[in-house]
Amino acid sequence: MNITAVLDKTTRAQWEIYIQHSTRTDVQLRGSKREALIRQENTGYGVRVILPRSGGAGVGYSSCNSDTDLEATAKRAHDLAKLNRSPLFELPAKRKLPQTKTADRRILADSERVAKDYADEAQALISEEKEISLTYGKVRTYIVENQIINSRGLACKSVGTYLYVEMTLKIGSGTSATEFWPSRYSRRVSDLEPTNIIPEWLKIARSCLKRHPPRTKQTTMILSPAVVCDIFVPTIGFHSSAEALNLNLSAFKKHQHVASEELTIVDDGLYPYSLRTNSFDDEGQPQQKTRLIEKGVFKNYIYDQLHAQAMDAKPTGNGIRTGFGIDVDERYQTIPANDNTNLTFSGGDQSLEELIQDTKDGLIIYQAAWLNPDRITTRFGSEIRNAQEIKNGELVQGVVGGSLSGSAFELMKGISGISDRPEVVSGYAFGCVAPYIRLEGVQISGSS
Amino acid sequence: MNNRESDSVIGDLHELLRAVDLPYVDGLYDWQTQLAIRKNKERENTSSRSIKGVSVRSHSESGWTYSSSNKVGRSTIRKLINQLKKETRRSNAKSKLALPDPVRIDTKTPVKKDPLEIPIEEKLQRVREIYDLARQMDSRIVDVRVAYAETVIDRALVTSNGTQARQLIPRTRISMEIVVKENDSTDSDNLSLGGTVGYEVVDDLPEEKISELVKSAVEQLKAVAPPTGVQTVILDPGTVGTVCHESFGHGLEADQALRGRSYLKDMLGKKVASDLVTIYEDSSLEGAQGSYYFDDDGVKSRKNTLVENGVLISFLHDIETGAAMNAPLTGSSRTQNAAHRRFIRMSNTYAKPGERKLDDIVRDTKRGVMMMRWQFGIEDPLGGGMQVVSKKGYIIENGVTTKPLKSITLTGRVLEVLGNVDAVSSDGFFVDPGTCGKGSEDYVPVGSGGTWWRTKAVIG
Repeated sequence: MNITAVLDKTTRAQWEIYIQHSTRTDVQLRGSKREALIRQENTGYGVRVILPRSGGAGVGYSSCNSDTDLEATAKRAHDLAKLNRSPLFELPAKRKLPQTKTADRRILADSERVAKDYADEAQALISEEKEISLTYGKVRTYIVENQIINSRGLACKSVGTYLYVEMTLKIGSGTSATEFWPSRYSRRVSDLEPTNIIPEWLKIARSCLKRHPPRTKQTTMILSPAVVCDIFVPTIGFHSSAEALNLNLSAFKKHQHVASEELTIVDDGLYPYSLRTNSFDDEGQPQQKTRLIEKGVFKNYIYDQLHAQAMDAKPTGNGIRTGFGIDVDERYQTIPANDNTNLTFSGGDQSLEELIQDTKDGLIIYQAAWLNPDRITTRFGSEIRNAQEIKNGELVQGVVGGSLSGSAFELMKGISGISDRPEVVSGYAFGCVAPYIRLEGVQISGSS
Repeated sequence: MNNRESDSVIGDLHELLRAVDLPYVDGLYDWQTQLAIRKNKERENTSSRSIKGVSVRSHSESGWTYSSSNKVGRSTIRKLINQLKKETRRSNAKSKLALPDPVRIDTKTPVKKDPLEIPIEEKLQRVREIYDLARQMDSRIVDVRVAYAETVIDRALVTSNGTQARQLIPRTRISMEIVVKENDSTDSDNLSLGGTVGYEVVDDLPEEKISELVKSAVEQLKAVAPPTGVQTVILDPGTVGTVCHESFGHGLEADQALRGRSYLKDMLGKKVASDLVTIYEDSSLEGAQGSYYFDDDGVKSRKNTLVENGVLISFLHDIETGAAMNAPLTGSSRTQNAAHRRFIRMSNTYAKPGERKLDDIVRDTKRGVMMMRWQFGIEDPLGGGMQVVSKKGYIIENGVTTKPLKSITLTGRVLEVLGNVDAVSSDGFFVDPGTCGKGSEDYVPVGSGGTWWRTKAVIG
């Protein structure tokens, strides 16, 4: 396709095209066997047209790859833009982009082999266990090429790789069995090496062999990096956005104490091999590091192109294409929104072992069912799927059942410890680098 | 829709798959078009989407093999089939599937007002009207988000045993979120209406629904956190539907049983809930969000009874589990689109109405909590737990609803929560539109509903 010629001919307004080309291999496991092998190859694009006078923006998405289809998609986007009322803004012009690390040579070389070998190795490691077994698993590799071209001369391209691993580990047997059901994305195999991650997951599963439901109380709680990510990415992400500020919905004000002094968070679009790391955001602006919270004090908001221009600020590379259920190779089907790149927590000065030793009575939460906090109120509640009791500085019995609940922003004020080694713990819709965090006075609901 | 192109892809699939020498092979063509309009205080966004794809799959003793692409031309289909043949030859090509009788069908869900016949300008104007109407209802409103979406799925299945089935399913949906603020307190409430229906769902949206939503959002400003621990809870129809969906929907997906991941595997015919609980799974329910004509294995849609008077009646099956468990097919194989794998999924899951009036049930409750406006839920297929979160609720004291409550999380053992159901209302039957993932992926449209239930569960 001659993209520029087709779009210039179809619309005289500003235009932008975001193209994704991807290959995916998905190996799904049932116990020691393979349940399914899925191979995919996809190309799709989103065309955004912005009219200079009304600010109207129209968007067309398509997976149909011909000049005729592109022309039809662009014409549709132009017609839609004529109908809309929006703040006036311009698409970004070409700028110098930073260097970033987003692709794993092993996956680039043979993504299908990597997925199959990973699956075999994971199955072999789990099969050595006596009381833990693999019931179902997914190992998926992606190679995704992203490209943005716009009518202001911007043209940028990047290639990223991804590995997704999900395992359901059956704990025990018979009617008393339960499970540990972790999943994780990474950009390279070495961050999720089976010989590292599978033993870690098995250890958590083993801790729940003997378990009991919790009692209703307020308690000290250590949250795993995955749980930290689930609670704080959507809430801090929304309240630090220029969109929330513009709508008078942000709970943050610049220079205001919003958390305990231990907490420092950066929105880091350049963090090596994190999920949302890239040289440019999904509008073509350079990604960067933006300080959000420093020693408990809120510092900066994050801006996409629309809010930067509407609010007379500089874009921070936070125009991100994302949406519910949208995987990393389906982002062309969404409109850029004002969102985080990688929410990156600074590590503290204690190891996880020291945090535990320093806790008299509490819980360590490895996994909650689905936290999904309300981004406006920051309230959440979720079933405890895998946790362990801490008594006098030692891990004791597993805890399964009941729920934890509260407000993310209230919890931020009760931080009493942060572990020293943050990990990349991304889900499909966000990037995050998080440590274990200990909090005081968290509500648990269970038996009376 | 471009019928000619769809016909051509279906023809290519039929011709090319016929020549494949494998025990079972099928091809699925999927074309999804969507118009979406979103408006809030900041901006309006209108977008149009056209996503196509084709996938072919085979089954052998080594499991399923899929190849898919969003290029739908004949040469691509040939390439996908060649990939499939290569992989399946390597493995043992024996296959045991419960194949339905072949069908030839080409059908479209009828709707009262076809959205495609209504100008976009008119739809945008209606979204603006709803926005303006809500916006001026209360000075504490800081934002109103209105989202309109119309989708048409054009899906065809061609199988090596002779099925050639095509269905066009339109879905229309209108959603609203009202965000309110007073001093330092901010909250919201939301509403979503739709299904396999047409534009009438937007045209007929009554003003009272909008004013009730605004009132409810404002009430949330004064709401308090719910009590914690084991409580008597009265669940609204949407929340009941979500409880049914998470408990005896996901819990009865037979693929989980084959994996050794279902605590219900050996409980067919046994008592799993109170006598008052009867749960259906109905992919043929007219107008509901999760309805279709045939599933993605080519099995005709139908009403299945999952639980009857508290007794477990049936799992949900596809052609693989039907064969493995020697069970009748339930028409439950579904995929998000051609780029995704087919799994056993729910369609519309709902509870049978009971005999008491809601007012009577509330009057009869000395102390408890009413849960309303479900937001999301998640299953625990092996552990037998579940979680359902609602946006709001009320304290019930001496038979009367009193203080408004902020979001409430219900958790507990499915067998206990459903075993504790001691009242089911006859009034208020409703099936809510929603979206469901298999785990956290592979989303399909579903409906969930019922009437009001009273039970005991852990809330927080």
